[in-house]
Amino acid sequence: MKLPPFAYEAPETLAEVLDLLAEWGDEAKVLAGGQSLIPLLAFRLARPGLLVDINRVRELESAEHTSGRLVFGSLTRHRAVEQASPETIPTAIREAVTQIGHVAIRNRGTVGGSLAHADPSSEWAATALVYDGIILARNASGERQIPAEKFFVGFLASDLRPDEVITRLELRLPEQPAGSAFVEYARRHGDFALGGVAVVLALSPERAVRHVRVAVMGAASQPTRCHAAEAALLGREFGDALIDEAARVLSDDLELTGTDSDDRRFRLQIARTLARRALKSAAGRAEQEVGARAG
Amino acid sequence: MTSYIGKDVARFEDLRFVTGTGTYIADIRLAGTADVCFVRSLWPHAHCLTIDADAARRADGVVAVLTAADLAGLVLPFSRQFYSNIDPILEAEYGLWIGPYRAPVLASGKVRRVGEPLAMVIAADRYLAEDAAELVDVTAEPIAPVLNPDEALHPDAPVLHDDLPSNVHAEFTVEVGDPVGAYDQAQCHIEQRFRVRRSNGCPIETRGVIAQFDAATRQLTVWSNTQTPHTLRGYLAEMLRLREDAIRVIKPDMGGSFGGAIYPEEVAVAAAAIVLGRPVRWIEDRQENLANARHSRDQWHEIRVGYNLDGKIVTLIDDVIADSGAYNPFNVTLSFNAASHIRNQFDIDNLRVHARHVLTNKQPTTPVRGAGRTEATFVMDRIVDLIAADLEMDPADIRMRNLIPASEMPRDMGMYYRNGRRLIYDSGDYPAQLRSALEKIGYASFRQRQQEARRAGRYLGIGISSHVEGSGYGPFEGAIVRIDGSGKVNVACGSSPHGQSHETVLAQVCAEVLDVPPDEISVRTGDTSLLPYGGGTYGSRSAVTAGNAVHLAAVKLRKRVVEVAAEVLGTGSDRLTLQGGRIFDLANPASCVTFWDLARAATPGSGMTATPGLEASAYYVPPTVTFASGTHIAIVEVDPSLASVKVRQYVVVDDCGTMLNPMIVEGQQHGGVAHGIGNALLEEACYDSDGQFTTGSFLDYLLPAATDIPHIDVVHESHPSPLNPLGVKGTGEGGATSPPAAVLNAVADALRPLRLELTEIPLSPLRLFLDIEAAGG
Amino acid sequence: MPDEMRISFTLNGTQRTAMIKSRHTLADVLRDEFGCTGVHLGCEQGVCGACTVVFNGRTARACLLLGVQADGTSIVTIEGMPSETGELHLLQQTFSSAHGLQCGFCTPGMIITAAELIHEVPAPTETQIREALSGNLCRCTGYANIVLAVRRAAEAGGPDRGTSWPEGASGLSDDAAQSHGGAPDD
Repeated sequence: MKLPPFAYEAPETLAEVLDLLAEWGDEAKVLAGGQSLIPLLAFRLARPGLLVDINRVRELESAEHTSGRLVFGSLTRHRAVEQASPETIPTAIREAVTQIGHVAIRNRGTVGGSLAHADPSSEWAATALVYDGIILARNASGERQIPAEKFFVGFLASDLRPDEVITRLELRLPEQPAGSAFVEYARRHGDFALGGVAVVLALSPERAVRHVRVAVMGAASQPTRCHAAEAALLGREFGDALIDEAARVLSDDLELTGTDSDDRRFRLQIARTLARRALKSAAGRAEQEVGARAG
Repeated sequence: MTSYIGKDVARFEDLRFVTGTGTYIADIRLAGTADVCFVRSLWPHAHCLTIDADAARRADGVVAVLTAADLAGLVLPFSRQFYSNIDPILEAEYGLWIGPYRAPVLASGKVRRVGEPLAMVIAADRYLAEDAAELVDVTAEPIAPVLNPDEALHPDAPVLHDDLPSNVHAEFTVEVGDPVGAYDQAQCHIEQRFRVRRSNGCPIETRGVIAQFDAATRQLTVWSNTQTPHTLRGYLAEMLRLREDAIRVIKPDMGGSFGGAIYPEEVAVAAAAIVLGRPVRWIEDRQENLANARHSRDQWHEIRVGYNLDGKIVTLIDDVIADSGAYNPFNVTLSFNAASHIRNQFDIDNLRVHARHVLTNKQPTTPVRGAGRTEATFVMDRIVDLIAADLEMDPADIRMRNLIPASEMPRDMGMYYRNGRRLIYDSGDYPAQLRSALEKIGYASFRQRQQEARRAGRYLGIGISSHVEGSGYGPFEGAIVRIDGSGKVNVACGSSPHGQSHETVLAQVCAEVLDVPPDEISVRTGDTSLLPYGGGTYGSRSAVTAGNAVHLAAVKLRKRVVEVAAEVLGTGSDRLTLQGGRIFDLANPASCVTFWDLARAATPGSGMTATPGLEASAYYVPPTVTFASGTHIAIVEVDPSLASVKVRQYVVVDDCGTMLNPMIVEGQQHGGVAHGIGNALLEEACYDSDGQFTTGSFLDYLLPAATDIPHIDVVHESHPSPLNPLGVKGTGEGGATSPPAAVLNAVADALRPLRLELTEIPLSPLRLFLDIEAAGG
Repeated sequence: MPDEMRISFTLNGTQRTAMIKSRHTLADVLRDEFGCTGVHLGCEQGVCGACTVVFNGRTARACLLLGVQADGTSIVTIEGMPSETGELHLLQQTFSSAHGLQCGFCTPGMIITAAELIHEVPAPTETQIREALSGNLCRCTGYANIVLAVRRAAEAGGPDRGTSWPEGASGLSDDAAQSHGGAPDD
């Protein structure tokens, strides 16, 4: 399990990174946190000609919030988000990020790396989907803004081109007071999830659903936004029956993954169970938000 | 006299381990070492193997590429099995038949499993060796593989070994009483099939071997993280045709093991060192380790049990199939252990176990912590639970109804053990053990807790399992105890500790006899140059065999010490007393000598003693195994929608006889329980339908983590063994024997209305989901 | 493009320099080049935690870092666990007194991970301890006494009481304070 040979560069500016990627194309791989890439190299499942270590590119670190937007530089470490003051980070994001692996992995792992790796169980992917995420990718020719829904195209596959690097993730916070939740289920604490659900929900004082986003990870070959569930929820009065309805139609959007039909059925049940719990949790928090703003 | 046995002496090993200054195999540096990467078979079954290593030999940094052809004149294949001196009574009584065993070091012509070593690429470092290994071109013609016993037993199945008539390598039928007659007469019956899936021993350290051959002196030194250095030396001498005294095997600090063998890689690396004339090193990586080491369990049990309406079990009939992989060097160890222990602590007079070891194109299964007893205990204790469900009785009551009472101990179980001796549960109080466990976990009040939890939408369950363990297996262990020129006590022992704290515990045993504090006693192990015969550490044997060997040697040395002191002081031995490293005349305490004085006196040529030397050796041959036992109770929480199981509470009541160091005993119990919980819920070594190994990574093979194991309460109820001077019993494996049964019984209890059968481990979430679905839950 | 590079970094408080292969992992470099054999390889895929070191003030799996990434950083291994008095770190003592180790192979990584926990959470609950250690696998102890060891150290320790954390925590921003192959920190 020793790494195969590769050339290595550690540029300090984004421009240098882009030049290298332009020159090497799909022979180059970007090294950010390394928590996903290095194991691939150790198993010799990836054999890049060049490793471009972007850890010294300070421009990729910045994170800021403008009104209604959360922006994360692609080199933002999971741990930084986990340890940021709670009022600056929505609950779903905090809950998601604490479930990524273990502390030592979160100390190194990055937002950009997690998105680029496009694991079906990526917590950041689920997060990006429920906050209308835009992934900013740059190459030597320019910049693309890729909506999260278009970004994840298949198993460990993203829309990112070989000569592109993710620079930022932009998330749009809902305009009205909302609650959010993220729940996942893994065999062991910190393992890749068998399923996970992110929910953002805003309710009127009469409990009508004003805004909703639902994303599922781990059940399909890529993280998926569940439009059917959202449509079932939007404008309706929130309650147990509505939750069940939303959970039921989850299957409409999920191209289930799994070793066989039994496994796929199980994944679906996990997704439905977690969706119910995430919806309940998010609704409770949404009501607290409304109460807090009103009171 | 101070007492050191039974004290929680802090470990002498700890200082180097907590500071990271231990020396494990990969920490040993010899100048000029070249690193090995094995080229391994990608086919489960193939012949007409050809190997073209030209490109690899030319690669950067490569020293050599060796195949079976290169080692042909130098290395003989494996032909001797482990535990090969089977007592003839087993053949006579049980029709025991074991086929021949022949296994290559490097395969040639035929390969019989994915991962079988084919060639060694030896290079300046492991990075370069792996690069070059990719350039070795191997071709072969695939043969249809047999990947499970059904396939292997099919009349048309390809036979793995030409010298066997079929893929059955070993077989026996144990019979006690009249099992079939009793079955016919029993009032109730259950027929059930159980499956214990394949798992890995999986210590956190991988295997490693370093070999160095000095051509001038023709001395071979081999470092290996082996559980049996002397055994390894024996195999090397035989297979490399060297004199025994030309070989020294050293076992460094070791990162666990949990089941040992002698591996082809060990012999190959030694051979390479001879061929190349420079030190050769192989440090296994985890991907190799998961596929190629310590596979175990993998049994089917087809059970028929007869019992009466009052819950009394009257007969047990078991047909066992053990999937042994491509070679079966441990012959019937795992299945005979199962047969010997399946009746657990119960008074069952009728038994029949028919077992077959079936060869398949997979990694050989070898004993790993629990070694057949875990499988048997799982089967028996699930049966007890199924009986309880059928009769609508509490499992604890069924157990109590069937336990052998203390008044009937020692109890001859009506059969022979693997060593040819009568299988006798020598000591213990099983009903008291169960009562203790029930009290500790709060069994009586659990039902109310369970109901309250149910009303809150939570599913808690409780499960019980007990076990017995024939521990301290022979044939022997050796120890030499001496007082050196500094007047200090040295212990040399043939054991091979890998976490079992021998430097501390054996010092305590010796300290007890010589009345010197344990921290003044040095203990060295794991080196064939220390003493001529050594057993090694496996099978929960060391407290019994190493402990008693050290004890007996210390007793001999104590006698010798008093003799020499008597000579030096010019008085009779019977007037002398030994206390705190000094020997003095009770009637005249000023007349005294220290160990240091005696060391001087005993030096040859001192003129102070008739014969020189202050040393004693002892080889302890246990009369037979001595039976440790335990009762475990687990409380779990099940989330049926996610099919998840969390173990919330766990109690162990254990009887390991005299406890040399209770803190160490508890540590062994904790570790065993965690391993057993891993077997119950997480661990499975898998092959796909093409014979490819699919759990070769730590994200696929799941070891339990700190969040998977609850706090574990250990209660000791010691009944000293009547079979050895120290009264000890083994404690290394008991912890790992009962958890699968306890945990699955608890899951069944949590979902009692569904009447889940739960006949397989591990109980993965997917399997539980399907079971619940099938039961209409 | 050369496959060797020069690195200069602080290891256990001392400035070190070496020429190393760019594909060698930090774990291999620390062990082979700098003799820190207390960094153990259990899986080389970042799961078992036996190779855990302190990298710029935070735990990291040395098998998931390249040796060349050490340039300009501060790294502490078990060999450098600090103690104001020169004695063992309190965790090293409590791991022994609580019998939180048997074979010792997972122990260095376990201690370093536990040290980071009690540095950040001085009074951790059992759940917090188990979660923090869930990325360090142990096959010997069943974790019970490891949890006990951490709890004992947390209760007894504190600033100036044997549980200090390596200085030089420069946050989660990488080595960026140092330029490539540049001068050491003072």
